[in-house]
Amino acid sequence: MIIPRLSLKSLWNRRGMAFLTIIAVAVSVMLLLGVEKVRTGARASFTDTISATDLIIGARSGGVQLLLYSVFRIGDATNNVSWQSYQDIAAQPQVEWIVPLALGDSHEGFRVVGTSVEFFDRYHYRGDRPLTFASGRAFSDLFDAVIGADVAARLGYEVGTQIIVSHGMDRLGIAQHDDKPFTVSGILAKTGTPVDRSVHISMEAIEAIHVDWRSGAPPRPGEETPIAEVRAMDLTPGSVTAALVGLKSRLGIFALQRYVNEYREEALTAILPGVALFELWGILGAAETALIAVSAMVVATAILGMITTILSTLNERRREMAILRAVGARPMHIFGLLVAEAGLLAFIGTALGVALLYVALLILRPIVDARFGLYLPITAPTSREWIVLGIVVLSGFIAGAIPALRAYWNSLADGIIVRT
Amino acid sequence: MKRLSYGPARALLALSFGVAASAQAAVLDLDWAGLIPSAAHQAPLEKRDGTLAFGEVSHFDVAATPELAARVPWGAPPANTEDWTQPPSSGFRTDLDGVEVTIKGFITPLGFEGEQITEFLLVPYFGACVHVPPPPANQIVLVTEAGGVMPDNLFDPVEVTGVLRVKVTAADFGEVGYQMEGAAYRPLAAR
Repeated sequence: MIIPRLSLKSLWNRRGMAFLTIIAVAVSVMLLLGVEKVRTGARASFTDTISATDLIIGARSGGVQLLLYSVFRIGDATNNVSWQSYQDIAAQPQVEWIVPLALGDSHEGFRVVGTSVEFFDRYHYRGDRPLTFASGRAFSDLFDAVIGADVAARLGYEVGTQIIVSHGMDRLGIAQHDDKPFTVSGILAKTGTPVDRSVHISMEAIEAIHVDWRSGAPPRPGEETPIAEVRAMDLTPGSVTAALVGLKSRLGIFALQRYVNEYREEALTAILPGVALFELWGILGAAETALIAVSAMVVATAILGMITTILSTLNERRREMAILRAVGARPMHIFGLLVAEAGLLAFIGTALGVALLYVALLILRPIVDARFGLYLPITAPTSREWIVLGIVVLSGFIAGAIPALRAYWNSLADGIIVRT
Repeated sequence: MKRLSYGPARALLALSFGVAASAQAAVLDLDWAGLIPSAAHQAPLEKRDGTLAFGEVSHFDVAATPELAARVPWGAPPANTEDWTQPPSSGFRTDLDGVEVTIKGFITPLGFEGEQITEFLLVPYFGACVHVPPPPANQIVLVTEAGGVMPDNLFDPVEVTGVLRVKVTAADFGEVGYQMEGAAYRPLAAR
């Protein structure tokens, strides 16, 4: 037990250098684990976003693109799906439920999604959690809107607030549907998915606000169709942007997917969300590997720096080693002392790095969620992460052998008399 | 230190090997052809009036062969099970119901829990061409409540071990399928 105690005291004696080395190791470990946490957190966030949906249908485009714009509200659709095609698919006997989605409008930078009331029953996330209302209820009136938790929090809306929908992704409200205001009828509870950042209105409401936009341009002031007249019109949707489908039996997924992909009337694509997610990760995989490689290099650099520091102080410690030899330490003890010092620095640095990581996660989680919609789960280190931490500490011990060997030879040569 | 005498040590070793061997023998190693009862069930299912179900044959074959085109009523969904010359459930090996099997195949993920795939369809191939129809019902296994090591890619084969069941999956549709509950899967290393 003398070696660890001696090395602790020795480090304490040089606590300035020790402190800096520990910080270097801690920051590099924090980086390595942080990259891993963000990587797994992002994956979990993506897989948690949608569940219990068997197929997603949209106009023909790439699978990943369809997944991104229909579920994650990233990017735009290439085309819409006609109402007739949507009805044909809904009529297929394997289909148990189908929910339409219409995209293309926004409110203060948040996406407006046209959908049916069934969306609030059928959309599940994180396993099998359904959507719940924090206040209010789903839309019943034509100009009702249901907003997500983040929309309500960021803009301070409550049930009954009047909102104006903008055309396209318009943050400044240049092209607005201000002749047809909406009333917030319900606010959804926080889910940690893109639903929090969306405003939901009915499919008929999407038709209603575009009644005067048939030419692609807004109506001239004074020429908008009055709301009373719009309410009396037939507002059957002409098209949908995408649809979420649930089947009676999951074994029938391939058959219906093939039916949609080969549908002759229109060019359509049907994807399995799980498969499209894997494709997305395949694309991101190269970047993730690069990030992890860089972080590993940073850890190696920190440990090398530690060894360099210890080596550089060896010369001035020769008298210290001679004194230890004089009180009975054998050269092997000197070796063990140096190895223990390096290992201890690595160990304390690693422990501090882990602690810093969790502090940083706690502070940054709400910021990352608000900014990127990425909800990072704060969990204990996985077995893989423990192994990585163990490797870092072990490499500290092993790398310590380099200065330890030097000190060993020095003490053999010096004996108890130092020749400087 | 005491040394174990050879006699009892050898007996113990033989016993443990025997137990391991018998445990291995209980799990049936199944290939995909083993899931089809007979050659008759490999042809596309025909209805009594001679028409074929849409999706049972490739629409490229249909476009190329006029006689085939006449027999595929495009868009007509399969109506009743009585219309079929063979009921869809006859294409399954009901004698395998309740047998513990191990099958090698590919994962089509359906449900996740965190980073684990908990529900998936096990299929014989991945990324197949569109020349031929997708796998028929007796070449797909629905695996629920699964656990295991997630493969890095969907084109990595896995080995799934579990109890096979032949179950009705959609009661009003008369659809029957292979299912496994609580199966364990692991990725197969490339040879």
